[in-house]
Amino acid sequence: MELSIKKPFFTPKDLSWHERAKWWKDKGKRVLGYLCSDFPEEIVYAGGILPIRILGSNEAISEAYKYSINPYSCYVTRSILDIALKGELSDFDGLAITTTCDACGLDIYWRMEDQVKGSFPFLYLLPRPSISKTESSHKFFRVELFRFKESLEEFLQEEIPKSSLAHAIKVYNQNRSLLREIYDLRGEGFISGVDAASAVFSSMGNPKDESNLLLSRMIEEAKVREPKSSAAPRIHLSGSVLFNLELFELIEDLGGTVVSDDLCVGSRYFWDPVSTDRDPLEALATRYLDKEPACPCMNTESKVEDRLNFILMMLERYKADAVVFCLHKYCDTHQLDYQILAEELEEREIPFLVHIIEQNIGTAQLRTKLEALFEIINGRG
Amino acid sequence: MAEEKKYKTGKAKKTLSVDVLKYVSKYYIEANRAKKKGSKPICYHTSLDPIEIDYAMGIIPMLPENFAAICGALQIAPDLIEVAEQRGCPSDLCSYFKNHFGYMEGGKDLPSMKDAFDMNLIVLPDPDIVCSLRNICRLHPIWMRQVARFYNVPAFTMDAPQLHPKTSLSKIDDHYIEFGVSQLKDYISFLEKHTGRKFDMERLSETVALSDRLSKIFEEIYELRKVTPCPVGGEDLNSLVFFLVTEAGSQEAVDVAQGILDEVKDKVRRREGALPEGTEEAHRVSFVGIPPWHDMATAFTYMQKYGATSVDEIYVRAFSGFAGRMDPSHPLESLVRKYFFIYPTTTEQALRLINIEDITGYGIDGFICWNLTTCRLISTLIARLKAMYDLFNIPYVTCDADQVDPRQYNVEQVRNRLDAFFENLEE
Ligand code: SF4
Ligand code: SF4
Ligand code: SF4
Repeated sequence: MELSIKKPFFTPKDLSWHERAKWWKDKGKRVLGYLCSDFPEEIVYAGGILPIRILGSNEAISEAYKYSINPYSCYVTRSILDIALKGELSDFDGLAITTTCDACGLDIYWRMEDQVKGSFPFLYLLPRPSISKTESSHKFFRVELFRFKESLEEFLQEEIPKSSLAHAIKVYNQNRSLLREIYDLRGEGFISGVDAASAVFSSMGNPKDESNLLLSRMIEEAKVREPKSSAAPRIHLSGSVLFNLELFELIEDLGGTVVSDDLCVGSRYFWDPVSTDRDPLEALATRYLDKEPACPCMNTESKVEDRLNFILMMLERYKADAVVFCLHKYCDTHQLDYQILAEELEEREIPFLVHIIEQNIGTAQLRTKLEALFEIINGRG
Repeated sequence: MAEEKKYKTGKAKKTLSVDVLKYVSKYYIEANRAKKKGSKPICYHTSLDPIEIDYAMGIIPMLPENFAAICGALQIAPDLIEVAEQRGCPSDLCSYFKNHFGYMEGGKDLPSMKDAFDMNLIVLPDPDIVCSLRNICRLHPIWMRQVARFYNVPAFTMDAPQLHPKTSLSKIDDHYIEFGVSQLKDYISFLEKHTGRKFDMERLSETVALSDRLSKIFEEIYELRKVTPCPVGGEDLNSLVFFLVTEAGSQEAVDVAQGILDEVKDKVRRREGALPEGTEEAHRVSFVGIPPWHDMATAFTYMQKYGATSVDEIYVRAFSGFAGRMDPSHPLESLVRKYFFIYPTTTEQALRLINIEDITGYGIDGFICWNLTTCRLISTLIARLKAMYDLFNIPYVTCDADQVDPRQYNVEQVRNRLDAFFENLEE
């Protein structure tokens, strides 16, 4: 298959929202934005629409405050609102919003509905329970996914057959297993932390089938490379959304390397596959509710112990030396979970640091903190 | 620290004769007694949990949020919050949570706590179990999980998913009700398992009937506040929230509320308003947000000099249930309707209804938005309401004030804002 994508491996810095949508629209196809790693993209993809993750960015807010948005919400929320209110998503046919935290999902939905009226021909709020691993939550979410599919069909004026859904799941699962392979290769030094992260970032904005081809090539090329020595401090990143690769780059600049994560722009996006042995919507409902690593804001009942176990599993799998928590200011749920995770890591004598970010990652201060952390790791030999 | 405050914040003047603190102390004393004797289990909850089930099973619901509000009113929250912050709690987090976290993490034994609580009268007994229904904020269930970890007790969490925006409150889809009922049944099994108590549906019908009666009385009180002059002010209504969140399902709450309703009716008959004698009711405002328990005087009494009174509070009404009356013959479905479809999980239409329609119903001249920067939910609600008020050209003022923590509170600034707002209204 020949690649048609605009820019193979990109980070959000490389392409504007217009550029990310327009090349696909120029082919006479549709584009839909989504906001959270817990959004079942497969349904959109099955309808021939390109789903693109809207992450927000670290550009200064220029429009949104005029619309009286909440200045005490995390920068992810504020920035997404700004991007939309500035009209940067005007090439998008749709926007689908999962009900997420208190300041984000619902507010963005109503702002779009009220204040940017008509900007998205298809605007959808997907109610998602924050309880998982129970029969009743799966059943509930399956009904909501069915409704979402129906609304999308109405918008497309055509049916999305079961076979397309099953195919989408297959393609997405392949993407997940390729990304895992890339993570494994990164763990062995064949791929850098920055490259692995950009593979995830571009997977969230490129058509998955083409993305899979690219990832396969990346893997083939990596395998024949000489692996880098693994002596550098090996870092696990923990948190939610990062707007770009700055943090990965900073860690590499300082002589460390990112070897694993539980980020929404990392393993939280792709780690668990969708089961292929049952009804596609049922399988999607189960996967998107139960997946690991869970988000503390979307899985309010899921024990922080589960998140801890996932982090410990990743630390072992990728032989990470320390955890760097990068949490957004005003992100209550991640900050609350952090308190317990920190306690548990301390008990196990695993070095970690926490850094609160807002518009920017605060490079100068973070650099000092990282240097101190690296000294501890290197001191341990 | 509280004593370093530049401005002595204060209590509001009462407009009703009921002594809420007396009932609160009684409740806490009885709970502590039961804890000591082991006669009834204590279950911690976050606000707007279906505590009617606890009442039906002889379990005592305790709300650390309610406790935090009392600490706020008694001016001791800052000490507890400082303990929480010293233990690494981020300062941007909800002050109700920090207050309780600080209490658990050693604040309980602070000398100021002991003094303020008048020989330990208002002491939170330790929980035997905890529960949280996520229907307000995402912090609630995590808070209870932390409590469960701290005391090493079992925890149960429920979830009220957001209503689909195209849904109307009068026609809620079956799968929402089914999901809610199934979770309530799981909650009942959880309680049976961990307390050894048997559940009885008939008993639940009774507590649901009591709870419905309580909500109905509050609705009647709110209806009577549409009268001019308004018989009772927001200062009192806000403290009555204790009965709605902690005692929904008890006979005592119904009795107290009935007494209040009679008093309000009497005041209406006598055309006696909430404002001090001789002050004409010139402005009627609606109060949005959680009140600053540490300075109810500025929030409610201060406006009296402009002949203004708060006639409506979305905060209080949120606790009596939006989605219609409860039906004791279908107690579980009724509880789902009461607790799963409240403001944050319900639709924007409902928000408009309770906010915009009130303007005519209550004869409201403007809104006083009490913004809570440490609460994602309230700060987002207020930001969105402001956009709506701007759209409809409705007068409003925003004041930043924490609900229990006066450390960053600038009372002069708040009063200046209120002055400007009322002066504008007068023009
Ligand atoms: S933190 Fe949670 S709500 Fe936010 S994007 Fe990640 S998964 Fe979604
Ligand atoms: S989960 Fe946290 S980072 Fe994600 S949108 Fe919510 S507050 Fe922001
Ligand atoms: S709604 Fe706001 S004030 Fe209430 S507990 Fe949640 S975060 Fe705290």
